[in-house]
Amino acid sequence: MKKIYVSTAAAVMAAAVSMVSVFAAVGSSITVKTDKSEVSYTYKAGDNNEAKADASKLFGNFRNASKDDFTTENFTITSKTQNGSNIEVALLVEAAAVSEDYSPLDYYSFVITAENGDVLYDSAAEGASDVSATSKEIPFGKFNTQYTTDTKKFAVDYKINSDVAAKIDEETLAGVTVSVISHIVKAVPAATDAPAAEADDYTVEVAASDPEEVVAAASTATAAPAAAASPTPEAIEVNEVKKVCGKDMTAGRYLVSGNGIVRIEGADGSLKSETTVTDGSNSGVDGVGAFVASIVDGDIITAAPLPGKEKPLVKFEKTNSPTSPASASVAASNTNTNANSTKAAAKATAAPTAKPKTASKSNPKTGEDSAEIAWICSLMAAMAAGVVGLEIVKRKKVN
Amino acid sequence: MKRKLTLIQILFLCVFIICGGILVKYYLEKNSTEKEMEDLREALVLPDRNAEGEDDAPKAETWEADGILTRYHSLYEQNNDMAGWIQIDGTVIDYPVLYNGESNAFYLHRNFNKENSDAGIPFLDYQCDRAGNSDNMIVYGHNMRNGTMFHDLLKYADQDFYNEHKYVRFDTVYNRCVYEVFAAFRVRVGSKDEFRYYDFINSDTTEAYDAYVSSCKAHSLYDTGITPSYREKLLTLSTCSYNSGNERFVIVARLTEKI
Repeated sequence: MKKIYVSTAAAVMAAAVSMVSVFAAVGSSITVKTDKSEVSYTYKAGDNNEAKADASKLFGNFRNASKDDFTTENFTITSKTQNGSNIEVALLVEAAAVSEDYSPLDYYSFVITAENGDVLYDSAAEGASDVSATSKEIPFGKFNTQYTTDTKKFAVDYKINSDVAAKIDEETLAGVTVSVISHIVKAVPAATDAPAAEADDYTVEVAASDPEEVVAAASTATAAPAAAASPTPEAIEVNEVKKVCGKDMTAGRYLVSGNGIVRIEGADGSLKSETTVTDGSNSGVDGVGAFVASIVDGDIITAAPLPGKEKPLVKFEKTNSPTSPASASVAASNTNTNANSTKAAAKATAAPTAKPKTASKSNPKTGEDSAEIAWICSLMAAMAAGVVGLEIVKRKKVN
Repeated sequence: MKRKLTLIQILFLCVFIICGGILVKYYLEKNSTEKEMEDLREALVLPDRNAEGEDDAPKAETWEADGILTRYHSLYEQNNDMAGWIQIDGTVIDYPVLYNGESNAFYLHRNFNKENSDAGIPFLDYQCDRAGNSDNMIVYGHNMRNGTMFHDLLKYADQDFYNEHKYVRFDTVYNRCVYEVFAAFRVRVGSKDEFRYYDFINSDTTEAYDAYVSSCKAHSLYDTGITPSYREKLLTLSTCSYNSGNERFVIVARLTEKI
């Protein structure tokens, strides 16, 4: 009887662990979006803790890309994990090895630039692929090292390598595929003594338009990094303690709200500001509903919990809105606009090139005109001397 | 005869009193200019200290809905010509900077309230972009003999002073900015080989930018070892020097910090 109970208990525990694994996996996802295309892909993870999906539709008219100039697509990649795994995301180029002279993997040249301007990958610097290789990965880097929801932006420049294009045939070209691939780098064991959870199921959603719209919306070449072209505000939920600007978030102005004590330090450790934000639900806590912080590369942002709370929940949102958010707290809650906003631009003058520079522009005289004072003092002295002199003359005449 | 001499004496005395009145008015105006500047400094809305009152924990800068820094918004509402604020440690230079888009003459002899004032107020070159987007932001200020306005700029003629005060703060009303001085020089305006530094506002080419920087460094009284690169924003501060007629003293700095 005892053995039956033990066996039953073990089976129930195993089932429970499996359920936990499933529920832990549900909600883990990677989303890749561009600002022109809207194509959605979903798939489940395969073996080896990795998953991939076709990414060709992210690149507009991929097959007819330019051979001369780079075309830029701005990628926004969001990775969500439930169990704390780190995820590496990359572009995966696959093709059969067909020649000893070239590799079809080099048909496309890529340059991947992070939002902070760091070049993560450059085909020109990497050199030609091994002619026997059948795949190569072009990394976007590691996600979820600090956050369960991690969003990063990249500028992906691509063009056709004319040297390879001259050699490749149509059949081989048809076999060149580009996918988005993700790997679990660090699997976090389950909190119980049960066996480690299985690999997450990944759902990769790639947002793009219908194929017709994708073809019509041909990319225009631009060298601007993704940060400059992003049309939507960046929002990051901070449940963690520390972020470093330039590494974990981009520089810029952020509207900071939520509940926590936000401390911003410079790269040298000097304290720049320390502000308590609260949504008003924490009695006895003095703070602001929101404030705007300008953060530059190297700054260290720390969010500590409010008194009596276990963890902070602070939101940093890049501000593009011209109006302040409503706030029930202190009037110090402001939002700021980009200095190039409509209202600011209306007050700012036109660029100097709109004003013709004339050859006769003079250098303003910024010295003090003391000649006038000197004349006045001289005149006073002369008048005083005149009064005294005339008095002497008068007295001589009397005598 | 005696009567005539007395009348002449009275006339001289009247002229003497009038001149005295002009001198008194001149010095009173000097003092009131400084008082006005003090009032403007007090009108700045600085970020509050934290609840504990620790001076080393300032709050973050904030901006109003129109993009103007909160600290300058009140003054900006008083006079929309306010373009920014100039401040240099170790000097009395701590003044608002105004802007008239039509002419450099407007604020040469006008105060913050646009009233006549011999001392004027520091002002941004009318060709510059008041939002700070020009490659070279030029600010002029009077060199007043009583030591106010840009008089202390001449301290940069001394390299020891430069070594201790390498940074200049010039905020626009939109951004807080710090600049690093890289050249200090004198220029004789109107001379045959005059370096027309005040013509350089924007450069479309690397060559034009580099040429300006090279000229600044070539004229500089000392070598700072700093050479800005193309696209680094510059700040030029200009005032009269009394060394010789029509001479200017100029310092040029590059942007190192912008919030």
